[in-house]
Amino acid sequence: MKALLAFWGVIAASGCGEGAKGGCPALASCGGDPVGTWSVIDDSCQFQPVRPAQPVDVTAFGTITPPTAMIAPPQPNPVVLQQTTSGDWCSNLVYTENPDPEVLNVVLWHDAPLLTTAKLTFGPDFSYLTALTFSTVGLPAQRNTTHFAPRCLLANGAPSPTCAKLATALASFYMSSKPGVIPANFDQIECGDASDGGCDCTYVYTVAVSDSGMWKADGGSLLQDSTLFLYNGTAVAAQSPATTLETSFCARGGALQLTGNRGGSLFGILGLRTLVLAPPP
Amino acid sequence: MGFFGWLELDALYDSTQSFSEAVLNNIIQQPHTIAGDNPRFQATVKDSRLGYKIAAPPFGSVRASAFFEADFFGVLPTTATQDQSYTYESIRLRHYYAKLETPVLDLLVGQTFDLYGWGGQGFFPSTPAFLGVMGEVFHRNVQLRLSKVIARRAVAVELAVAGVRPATRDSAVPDVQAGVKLTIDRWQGASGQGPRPAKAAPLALAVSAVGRRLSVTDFEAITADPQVVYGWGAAASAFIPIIPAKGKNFGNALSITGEYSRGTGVSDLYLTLTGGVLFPSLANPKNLLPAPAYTPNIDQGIVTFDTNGLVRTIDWQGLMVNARYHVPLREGKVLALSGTYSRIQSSNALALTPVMGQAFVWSKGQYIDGTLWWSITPAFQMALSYQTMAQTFGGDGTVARNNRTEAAWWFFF
Repeated sequence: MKALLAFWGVIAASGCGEGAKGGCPALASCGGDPVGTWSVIDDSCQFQPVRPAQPVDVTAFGTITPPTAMIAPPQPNPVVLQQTTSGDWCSNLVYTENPDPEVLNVVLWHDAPLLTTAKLTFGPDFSYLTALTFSTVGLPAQRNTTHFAPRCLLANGAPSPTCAKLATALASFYMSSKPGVIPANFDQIECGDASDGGCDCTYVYTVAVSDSGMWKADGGSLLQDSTLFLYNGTAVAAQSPATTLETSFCARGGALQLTGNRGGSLFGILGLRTLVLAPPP
Repeated sequence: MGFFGWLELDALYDSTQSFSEAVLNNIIQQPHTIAGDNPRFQATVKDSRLGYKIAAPPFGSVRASAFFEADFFGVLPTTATQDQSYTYESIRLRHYYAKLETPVLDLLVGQTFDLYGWGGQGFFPSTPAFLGVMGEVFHRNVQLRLSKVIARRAVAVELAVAGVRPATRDSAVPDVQAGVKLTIDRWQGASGQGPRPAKAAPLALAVSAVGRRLSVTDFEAITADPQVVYGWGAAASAFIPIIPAKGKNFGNALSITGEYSRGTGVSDLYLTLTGGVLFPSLANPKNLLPAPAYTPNIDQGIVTFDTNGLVRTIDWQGLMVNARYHVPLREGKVLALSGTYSRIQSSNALALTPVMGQAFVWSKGQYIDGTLWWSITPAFQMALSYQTMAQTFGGDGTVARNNRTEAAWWFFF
């Protein structure tokens, strides 16, 4: 009977949820004054998002070209939570040579990019600006590689596809709207011959997140109302915060500690859980 | 002749929100998601059973009998509320067959466990978890089975062959299953099948196999002839009394049940097993909207299509080992301990999945449980069990784990 009581005790004690914090425990939420610029990453905790908690924008994988940037790796069917297909062996490639090589559509697989730079500015007028850069630089090449079988290259009647032509066409497809200012989603694209006669293409995936709006503090909570949320210079409706962003924070001792509220992610960016920043030297 | 069965209550606490009542080979929600990082509690009576056995008077040397058993895991409409799905249970047919025993051959017609894996013949693990556990062959099907038992003194050999409803009706031919089972009556042990109280059973060794033809709708927007591929499986099963029972005294009796299986295109014979393998989407080189859709004529997970559009069967290899020990108290019929280890893995599930789908495919699963059984009376039993299970997903090798604590009560009649 004691075992039974212990069983129900465990049930009762563990009934509280943990959100989705996974291996990223919450940091301090002492509040304080966040005014200033914070741009040195002392620590961060980010995990690989493989399944969006909410459906993302269907157009991100439809015929809009090029697809908008996102942190999560491409999903086979992003509009449903329960997958119904394993995805397209050709990664949605539409490749033509009429007569110049051209890519009209493609979804290149990429791993979740890692946070590389961060700059948060909280003004005394309660405006804020968040600039974060995520990149797959340094991740194993096989986790940022897409294979195209010969039938994918030939499906649209291209007479003489080569991997070099494909690389050129892919680079053109993903060319930045403002080179030098806004990063291209995919950069350093290289395609080599694969053993089956197709092409293996490797690349670096980069996402620059920019968010601006108004902030206020409420105890240990930082409340942000976003007015402009951009991924690589493009407004992404599906990933823009729809309501006030709430973040647990602690500005103390020259460090700003941030934790996604209630097990959620920071700034609505799936996978980024905690961040510790210091002012620039 | 008469009714039999049991009333059962299961209280289930899971560390994730992955499952409804049964774990089986269902997919564990991955960590860092709300469902993967938060717990769930359920209580259900759906595994209660109601059955009926009936036998006709012998007709010369021929005996005819019938067997019926149902539980309450029937499929509910998708519109059922959570309250309805746990309290308005729907009956589900488990076994419904007739048997004709003659001096020459025995005939079984109807629905019961597959011959593949010798289901229901003493090779199930002793566990309160809903069977089959991850990696265990466990399936019921409509079939016609011919069998013959050849007994010499304490040794018996059973030979059986069955024609079974195929995985896809468009195959147009039944699956074929066959098996051989050896039992040695003098070597008796205590055998607990699933949640059932232990009974004396002989040492048993068995092998079985399945072969099937799969005719699958062509993977094109405008389909041509179906693509045909063949699936097969082979399984070895054993029940070994390590410390035999002494007649009806099970005190200190220790028995091991095990199964090894390997096959391809037979994932449906492991309950709910797909590994997350789905059909790819049709290529859409003309960028059409709506995109062309593939309509399969076979359940997901048994086969898929490779990068060249050719049908391929999914390989799986399973192993299950279970041990049960009876505490020497009141002839070993009050307290017992059991433990299960099982695993299953696929060598080609990931390779046959486009890269963007690999994060949803698990190719390796593992299950471990430990259970304390307490027969308060011969008819009333309870159990406390801890079960942990993990699956390794493709992409970055994420391991999803669920820990389940189960308390269960049974009244047998």
